[in-house]
Amino acid sequence: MSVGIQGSTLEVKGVGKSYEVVRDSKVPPVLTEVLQPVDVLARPGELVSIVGPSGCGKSTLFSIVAGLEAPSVGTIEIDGADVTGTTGHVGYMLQKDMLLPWRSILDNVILGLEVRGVARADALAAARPLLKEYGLGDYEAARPAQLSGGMRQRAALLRTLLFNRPIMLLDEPFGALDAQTRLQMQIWLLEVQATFMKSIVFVTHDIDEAVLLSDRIYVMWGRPGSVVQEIEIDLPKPRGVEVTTTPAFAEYKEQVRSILMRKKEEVSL
Amino acid sequence: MTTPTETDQRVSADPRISPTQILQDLEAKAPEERTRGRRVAAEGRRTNPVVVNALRIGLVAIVIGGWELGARFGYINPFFWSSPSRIWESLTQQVASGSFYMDILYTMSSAVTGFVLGTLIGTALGLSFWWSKTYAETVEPYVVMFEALPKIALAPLVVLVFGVGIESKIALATALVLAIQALNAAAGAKTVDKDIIRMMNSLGASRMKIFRSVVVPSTLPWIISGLRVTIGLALAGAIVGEFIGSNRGLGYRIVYAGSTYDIAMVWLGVFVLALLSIVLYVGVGALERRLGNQLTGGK
Repeated sequence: MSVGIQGSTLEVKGVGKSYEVVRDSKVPPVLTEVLQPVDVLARPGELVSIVGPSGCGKSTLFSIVAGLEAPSVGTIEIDGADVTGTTGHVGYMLQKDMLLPWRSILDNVILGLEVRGVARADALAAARPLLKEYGLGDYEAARPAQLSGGMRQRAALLRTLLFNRPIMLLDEPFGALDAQTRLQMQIWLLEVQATFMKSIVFVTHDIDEAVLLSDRIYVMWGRPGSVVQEIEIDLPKPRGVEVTTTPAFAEYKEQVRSILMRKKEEVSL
Repeated sequence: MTTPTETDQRVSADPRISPTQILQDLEAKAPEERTRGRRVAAEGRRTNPVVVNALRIGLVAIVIGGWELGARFGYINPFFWSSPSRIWESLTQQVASGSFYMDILYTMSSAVTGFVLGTLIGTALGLSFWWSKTYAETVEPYVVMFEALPKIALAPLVVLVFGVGIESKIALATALVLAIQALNAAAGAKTVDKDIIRMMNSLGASRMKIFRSVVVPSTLPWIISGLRVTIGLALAGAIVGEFIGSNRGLGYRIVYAGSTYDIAMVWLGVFVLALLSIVLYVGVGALERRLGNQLTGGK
């Protein structure tokens, strides 16, 4: 089964960001760099992760790719077209499900299509089978408050998917879930990814999650943040839980962990 | 490598006190045990509804009985305070004459019209603040000022401008409701989840779409929770309007009865008003629950 628009190539080219920070009302604002120029590439059907501690500019980079903020330098290109600083090109999902509590699950997942002006009947016709396929068929009419955290995140991901953009940005989407549910969701995301072949940029600080899901990991560090290492994850696909116990998996984990630990030691010295 | 026992001995031999020693000393200093094995007080205990209702009825019976007896035996001056039997008599007269119903209907319709108008205009005003920060910051202090102002003081002016007809009563009721709901709506619009706005923006939604799909629905609970307060205010506005200048309505009847020393009629008006406010309150409460369920899916 292959539905929807497949992935595009997302290229983040030398994107950096500085803010004018007011430290003291008496002196003029200081230009503070929060993100050093970084390059990120996601090819069609690839899932790339951005891993790093909080405050390393992950979320800033994320907002820039989503078009919610303009970068100070650099460009965002999708299939070679410059889309810097404009919205509506990517699906976007956060740790918070951001489902509208007054809407049913069905009406929530078609929100993106509604904004795009797709006829309601067409949107519903597309959403129903997807909800059924991914275990939310019985909850079409339910309100978000009646669902468990895992199901809400599933609905949020389906909403992002149904926006039907080739690129999806997921900012720690499973961060608030318990370990068991999180693993289920990760496996589910891998299935969804194999089906739809979107290009996904995934932000996390969970190393296991990054290694399990990614084709490539960008390790970010520092204030201002920058990409300190790029690691290709060459684990066989499709991946399942069993991959997490392989020696190769452990090696990749150790590789990412050691970079972050080394950076931490450099700071404390 | 030392064993745990050796470690303990070494630590207690140390002139400084060990952490476990601190707790032991503390325990020795603590007063005699009182906190252990205590039963929890009746926090979760339920009341018996039969007993409560019997007590409530009993309380009313005592007040009314005492009032009646006091008036009969001269402890209470019936000229000033009237008595339950006279009030009852007044009621049967009023029910027989029929014009009383028209007065009740008059007051109720001006209160409800003012309530609806005030809620709609107030909500629109409060929501309009979402569109422009400059506009909101310019206007909001004046709305706050108007809210703080005892609007009853405007009653004579309102009656002059709108006349002695139902318009002035509606205007006063509206004014009382409007300011509160405008501030409620403005506060609600300010607390809209920023991340949801960001998500809508990332989808490329227009301001109007965000307003309609996110801002309005998330402000509604604020408006709804204000309804039960404002229905009482609307009734107060209507009554005050009738006090100032009117020839109909419960407020008019009360003032008229007061000036002709018909105290039984004053009491009757007050009791009917109390009943009316309970009816309106319960009605709004039911509306509130229905709308609330609509918004949250009734958890």
